[in-house]
Parts: sequence; C-alpha cells; structure tokens
Amino acid sequence: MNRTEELINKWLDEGLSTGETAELDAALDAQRTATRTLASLFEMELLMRALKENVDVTENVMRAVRLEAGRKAAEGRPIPGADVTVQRVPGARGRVLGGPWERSRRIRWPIAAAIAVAGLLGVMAGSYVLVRLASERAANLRPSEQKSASARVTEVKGQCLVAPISAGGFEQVSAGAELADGSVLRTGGNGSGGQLDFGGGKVGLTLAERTEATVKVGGGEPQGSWGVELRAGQVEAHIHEKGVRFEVSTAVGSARAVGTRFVVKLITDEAEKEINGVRNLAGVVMVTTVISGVVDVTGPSGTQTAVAGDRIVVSERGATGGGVKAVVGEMGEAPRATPPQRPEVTLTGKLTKEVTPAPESQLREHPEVKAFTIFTLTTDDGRKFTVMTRKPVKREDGTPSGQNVDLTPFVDQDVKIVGTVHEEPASAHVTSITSIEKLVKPGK
Amino acid sequence: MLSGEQTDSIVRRVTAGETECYADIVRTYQRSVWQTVLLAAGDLHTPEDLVQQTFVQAFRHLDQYRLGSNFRHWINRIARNIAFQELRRRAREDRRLRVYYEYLEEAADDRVSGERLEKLAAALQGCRGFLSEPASRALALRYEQAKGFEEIAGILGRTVAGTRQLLQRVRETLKKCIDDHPALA
Repeated sequence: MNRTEELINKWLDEGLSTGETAELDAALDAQRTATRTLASLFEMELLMRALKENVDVTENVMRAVRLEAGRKAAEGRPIPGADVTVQRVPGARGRVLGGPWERSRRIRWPIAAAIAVAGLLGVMAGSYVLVRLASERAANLRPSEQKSASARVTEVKGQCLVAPISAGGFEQVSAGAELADGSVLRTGGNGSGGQLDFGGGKVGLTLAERTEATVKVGGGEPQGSWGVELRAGQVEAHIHEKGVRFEVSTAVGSARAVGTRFVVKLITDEAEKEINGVRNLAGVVMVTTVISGVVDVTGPSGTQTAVAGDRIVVSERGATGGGVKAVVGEMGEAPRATPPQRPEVTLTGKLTKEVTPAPESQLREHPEVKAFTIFTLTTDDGRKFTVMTRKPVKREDGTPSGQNVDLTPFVDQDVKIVGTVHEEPASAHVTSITSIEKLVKPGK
Repeated sequence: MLSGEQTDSIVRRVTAGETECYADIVRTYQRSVWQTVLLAAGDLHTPEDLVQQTFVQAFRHLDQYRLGSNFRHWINRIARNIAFQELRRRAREDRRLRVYYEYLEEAADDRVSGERLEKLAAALQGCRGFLSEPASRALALRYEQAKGFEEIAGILGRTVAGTRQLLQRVRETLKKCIDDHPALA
C-alpha cells in the first residue's frame, strides 16, 4: 500500500489531521490515479456502510405524506393527480415525533399582545374571515351529559366544503348541516370560512380560509373527544363552558389550554418554512396564539406556559412531517391576563421612526402589523429599544392593551422616557410609557 | 416485498386517494433508496432526511410514474437526484467529496442507477463468501453493527492498528472482487 492509499484508508476509517489532509489533497491534484483510487475505495466503503440495517422511515414519510395530501386538498388541488379527497387518518392523534423540538423566544409584552390582538382584529376585519360565533347553546346540559355524535355548521361564507367519510368527494355545506365523526371540512380562498359548534354551543370553532380539518365528535362518547384534526390552515377554538374539553390536533407541538380562546395555525407552505428563526425542513410549523386564559405548550423536552397575548411557535428541526399532537382547550377559571410587573426606568436617547416596522417573518404572518407604528429609541449608552404604538384596544378581561402615546412629535429628537422595558440579549422593548419629554442637551 | 404488478396496483390506489397505502411502497423500497442515497450523497450524518425527501417527492409526482415500468428504478432516480444535489453542495467545501462527485458525474446515470445498485449489492454479498472468517466477522462488526475499532479489536483479540489493517484489506479485497464480478462486467 503506497502513501496515498494509506491516507485514503485513514480518511475513510478515522479522519485525517490537517497536515495529512493537505498531503492527500496535494496527491489528488497531482495524480490522476489517486482520484480514481479514492473514488472507488470511497464507493466501496459506502456500499459496505449500506449493509447496516437502516432506520425505518415509513412513519415519518407517512406523516409528511398526510400533510402533503392535506395541503394539496386545502389548496383545492387533487392528490396526487386524481379527483379524490383526503382520507381520515386513523389513529394519528397523539403520536409524538422524536427529535428535538424548538420553541421560539416568547414574544414579550406588549409585542406579543399587539400581534395577538392585531391578528384577532385582522381576522375580524376579513383576512381570515371569521364569522360570528354561534349563539345557540344547550344551556341545560351539564358537561357530563354532553354527548353528541355530530357537530353542527352554524355559518358558512364562500366556499366551505364537506366530505363525509363515506362519500367520494366534497360538496358544499350549508348552515344547519350536522357533521358526523370523521367528516372532512375544507374552506376555499377569497374569504371563505366556516363556523361550527359542538354540543349545542359549548364550543365554537372558526375555520379560516384555505383550511382543512377533520371533525372529531367521538361517536357519542363523553365530552373530551370533541375536536378537529387540523391539516392545513387555521382554526380558532372558543370554549364557552367550564369543564368542556376540546382538542385541536396538529402536526407539530402540543398544548393544553386552561382558558377560553386560542388560535392554532399550521404553516406548511415552503415559503413560510422559516419562522422566528425556527427552521423546519418540511415547513411544518404550528403557531398557537393565546387570546385569553393560559395554554401549556408541551414538546418532547418540556412544557412552556403561554398567557393571553403570547404566541408559541412549535417546530421540529428536520421533521418532514408530523404525527398529530394535541392542543387541548379546557375552560377553567380563566386567570386574568396581567402583564408582568416591571420596575419603571428612565431612558434618555434619540427616538427614530422605523421604515420597516417589523421583522419579515412577523409581517408575513401578520400583515396587519404594518398598521402599527414602530420606533427605535437609541439610548445615550448605545442600547436600542423598540417602541411600538397603536390605538389601544380592550382585552377580553376589560384591561386596556396598547400604548396610545403619540410619539410622532418626538421623532428625531432627544427624549427622556419614563416607563417599563423588557430586555433580552437579542432585542429590547419599551413595554409601557408613563411619560415622554423632549430633552434639550447642553450646547444645542 | 411487492412485485411490480402489486406496486402498480398500490400506485393506482394512492393516486385514487388511498394515501395510507403509500406506506407499503415506503416499506418495500426504502432499503433500495437508502443504498442509493448513501452511495450518491457520500458520507452523511443524517441520510434519513434525504431518504424521507425522496419518498415525499415521489408521492408528489406519483402521477408521473408510468405504470408497468420499474418502480424501483424510478424512485432510485429521484433519490439519486436529491442525493446528488446534497453531494454537489458539500463537494464545494471538501476536496475528497469533489473527487467522488466527479467520479459519479462522469458515469452519469450508470453509476448510481437502480439496476447497478442491485448488481452491486448482489456482488457484495457474493464476495463476502471469499473473506476469511476473521475478516468476515470484522466486516459484520464494523458495518452491520456499527462498532468502533477499539471494540472490534477487543472482540477479535487484536490490536486497534491490526484491526484497522484487517478492515482495509477487507475493503480492498471486496473492491477487487466486485470489480471482477461477472454481473458488473
């Protein structure tokens, strides 16, 4: 064995030192035979490595395939190349993907609240075409008595199709229709949407446009089996009655809500596969926005608690699909959402208005954020704080949210701000403003 | 294991909406796709990603598969293209991978075709029969059970250096045997 072959074998077996790497690379540059030897020995090595029993990828592939089928169906495209509908996924609920899961940085108050409420406003304004919550309720039923083998469509806007599990294709559904367990709902684009209720109004569910979900009503089982399997798009669950449980199963992540309202959005578009720095090969990202109450979001590595105004992004690095995990909503004593108590600080610096109001990832998901005005305060010691203002709105619990301080007169001015802040290594925000005044610095 | 006809039947059902049937295809062809990915992408830390991508791509384009043709070759072509892209990307930074990429590229379709892979795998199995008992055992420990050199040395009662030499000789012996194998002539 000559020196080059020795180096090639060492490279294949254990790796080379820097000097040996340079020596081998030089030999490859100089000798045509060396490249042939390396290539054929490497091929042999790879062939032998293929002897190892490989990991069975069937389950992971099937998760991705189900999502792909759901996504295509939600877009109204056939699967794949045929005139058929998505099938119900038997036994998919509750599976947990292996591998690490990631949670984005908590979007802090008031940014999170702003985005959540803005999302809600945007939804109400028509982006997601939410329709009015159902008003009918079976008030006399106690939770333990709520047994229903169907969900009822209360409102439909635009294209809202349903495929009963026994049917071969989709057909337009009308308000009043009863949906059996396993029925697949699909909303079209252009402002389509739908509203369901479960248990005669105990749970209201809103489907945004381009959404596909399978209805679960448990075939008359006790409450707790109500829910949907979300395959694409977005739903908003509103649990109206204490003790009622409702599940939104999605491809990634798991959350348990002790509150009343939450939105789950499943992002599967290639273009959106990177969100808040969480990369996902298949572009499968679940975003849970908590509108009121508390949601515990659980992944393989633990549980994170989100309160009203927070948004939790759950993804799995490298996942090409996902088993369906549960997002459980249960109405309890919904705690009053209160922003964290922070001490007041005084900041001095220059206030500038931002041209780009928010990171691209946020704008992509929440185009309505553009309506907000975002400023940057660069303090005298060089720190940068984001200051976001908007028209204040009332949260569900009646507390005001938002800062209605008009900062426009202070743009490009040296200012003193008294208020609360939140700082992280990567970003800092002014979370509330008690007072602001122009500063006249000596010499100016 | 599915025959060609059975595979075609499943493809029909999947394209007709029975998505769950696709699992049978994955189970049947994943071994072959693994081999293709490993050979066409070179050394990888996470070949599973590429194997999964292959099957998802195949599902997306299942309507383009011509019934009656060889499904294994069709899906291996997808695997090879996906793995080649990965190899090309990594070859930009690694001289040795670039050599391998050029070696595969020269042979184009032939080198990592499904048909050649089947022959290679068969030839490898045949050639293993020519190895000595210690060499055969070392091969199994290293490649089938993915054990480290030290552990193999302990099992075989050899030094680590001796074990490395033994496995290098195994590699060269098998390479010569496969090069001369009539099925690959």
